[in-house]
Amino acid sequence: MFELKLFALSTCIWCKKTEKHLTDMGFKYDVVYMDKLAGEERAQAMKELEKFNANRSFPTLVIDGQKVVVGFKPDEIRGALMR
Amino acid sequence: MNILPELIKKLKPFLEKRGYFFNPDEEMTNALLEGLWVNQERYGYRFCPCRLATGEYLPDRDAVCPCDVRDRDIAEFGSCFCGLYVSQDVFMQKKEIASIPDRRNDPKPENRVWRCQVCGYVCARSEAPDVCPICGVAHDRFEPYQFA
Repeated sequence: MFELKLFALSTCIWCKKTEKHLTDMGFKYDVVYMDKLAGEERAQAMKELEKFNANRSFPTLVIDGQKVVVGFKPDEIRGALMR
Repeated sequence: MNILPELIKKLKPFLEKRGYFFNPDEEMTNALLEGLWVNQERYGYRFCPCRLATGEYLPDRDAVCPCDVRDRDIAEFGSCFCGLYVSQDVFMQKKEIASIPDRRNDPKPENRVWRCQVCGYVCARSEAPDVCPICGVAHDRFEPYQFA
């Protein structure tokens, strides 16, 4: 099983598409809605995101703490998860 | 509360006359406008739903919709970053658009001055606009303008 972490915004359409894509493929994932975090909590989460995506854009999907997919890239996500 | 269809109906002709088109995928456009509405309520300005706001107006201002990089993204990729605005081509052909990189923090491009040969409208941008926002003629009626 993959450990999937999605950095997202609750208002972002590309994030929603990414979530739907993961769900449709039958994967469970953890999601962090950065816009719903504030103060220290957001600063911590942003620091973590920055390790994977220097541009800190959304959505950013982290697979097993290693592989990173920035933006809604359905084929890339499928390729990384369907081996 | 669904004021969106009414709002879209009012905005569309205004935008299209100026060469701007909402994404023809209505579900997507509605979701994005709802996101803008959420941000309006949260921050007091319609910040891009696909970017993270600081909550302070000045550092957020360049990404208040329409964002500073919208036209460059439409010209290069056929849509803006969030996908609310698309090119005329994408609008007419109902072409699919894809998620694009965020150029918000990229260096600013060099601008040239462009003049509409028909009505004399002058603007400073990297490329001439798709449609003259004043008289409605196409991109190819613009020429680079030199001050005498």
